[in-house]
Amino acid sequence: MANKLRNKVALVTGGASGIGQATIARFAKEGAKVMLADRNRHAAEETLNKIREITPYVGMSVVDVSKEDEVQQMVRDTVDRFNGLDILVNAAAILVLCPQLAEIDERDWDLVMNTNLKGVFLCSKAAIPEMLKGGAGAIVNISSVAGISAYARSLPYSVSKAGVIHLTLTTASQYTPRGIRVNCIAPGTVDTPQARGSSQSSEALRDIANNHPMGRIGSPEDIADTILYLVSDESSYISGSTIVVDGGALTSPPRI
Amino acid sequence: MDKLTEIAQRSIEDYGFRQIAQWSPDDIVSQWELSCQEAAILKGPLKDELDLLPVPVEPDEYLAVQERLTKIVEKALD
Repeated sequence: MANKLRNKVALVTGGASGIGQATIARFAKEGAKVMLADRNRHAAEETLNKIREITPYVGMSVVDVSKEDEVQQMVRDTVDRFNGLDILVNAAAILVLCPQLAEIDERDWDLVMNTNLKGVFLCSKAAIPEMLKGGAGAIVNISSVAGISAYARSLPYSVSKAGVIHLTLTTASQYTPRGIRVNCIAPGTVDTPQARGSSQSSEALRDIANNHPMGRIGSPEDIADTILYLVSDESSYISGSTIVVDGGALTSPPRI
Repeated sequence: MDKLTEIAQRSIEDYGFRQIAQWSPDDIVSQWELSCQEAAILKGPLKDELDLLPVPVEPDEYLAVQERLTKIVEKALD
């Protein structure tokens, strides 16, 4: 086992699948004590059992990150179990497909914003006091390339992810002087249930991969590796940054 | 179309919406103003069916899956 995160306590939301799941596995292999948080109890239990094959220092919290009382309890459970909190990864997110702006149902806007942006706010709000007690911390927020360029299939998702980038920047401005680094990752298309689901067909996802400059879409592990970097001492001089991890997709010229 | 049938059909085509219906059903209940009976169906037999759906449901399967879920909702509402 490598030891980049030896004895660090990490809380990962959205940890039952996709990027969050890969991150928890990566952290566990690097010696971290990890709390897996997700609202999908069944998937969380399955992931918990897999991570127990790597480390006994793993716990689970069933939580809806849009609910402040549940988030506060999640952080309390983490601190009670592992005696502190050093790392928070805000990976919980949803992508609800929507029509053009004038036809978007307000309920859909609220559903997306409550998880994707308010959830990041609430989790950070709960975690930061614990990190301040320890004198240091690292937060990584998962945005998306949809927060940088327009994603017309879900305006609320695109706007929420743009908000995560700016929330990261502003949180870093407030807390970097107090020992907490806050950074963001903007993944491109990554092979996760969310991407498979939002593509609405296996053929559409294959098409994205075939037209990608690297000839493939990203893996959850590609993102987890970058998250590991941002929470480890190797990135000790980085705060307030957003790193795009998309295989160069944003650099590609549009197809004529 | 009744609310539950609409929710079921959206859940087939939109995985993100499906996740909310499965794992945060109270948000759907409150925002769609579902009745107690409708809420119980959403959290019970409809969720059981949503849990079995593949990711994604392929477009050529939509019609068959929609018909199946519609029948389940109608039976539960009777």
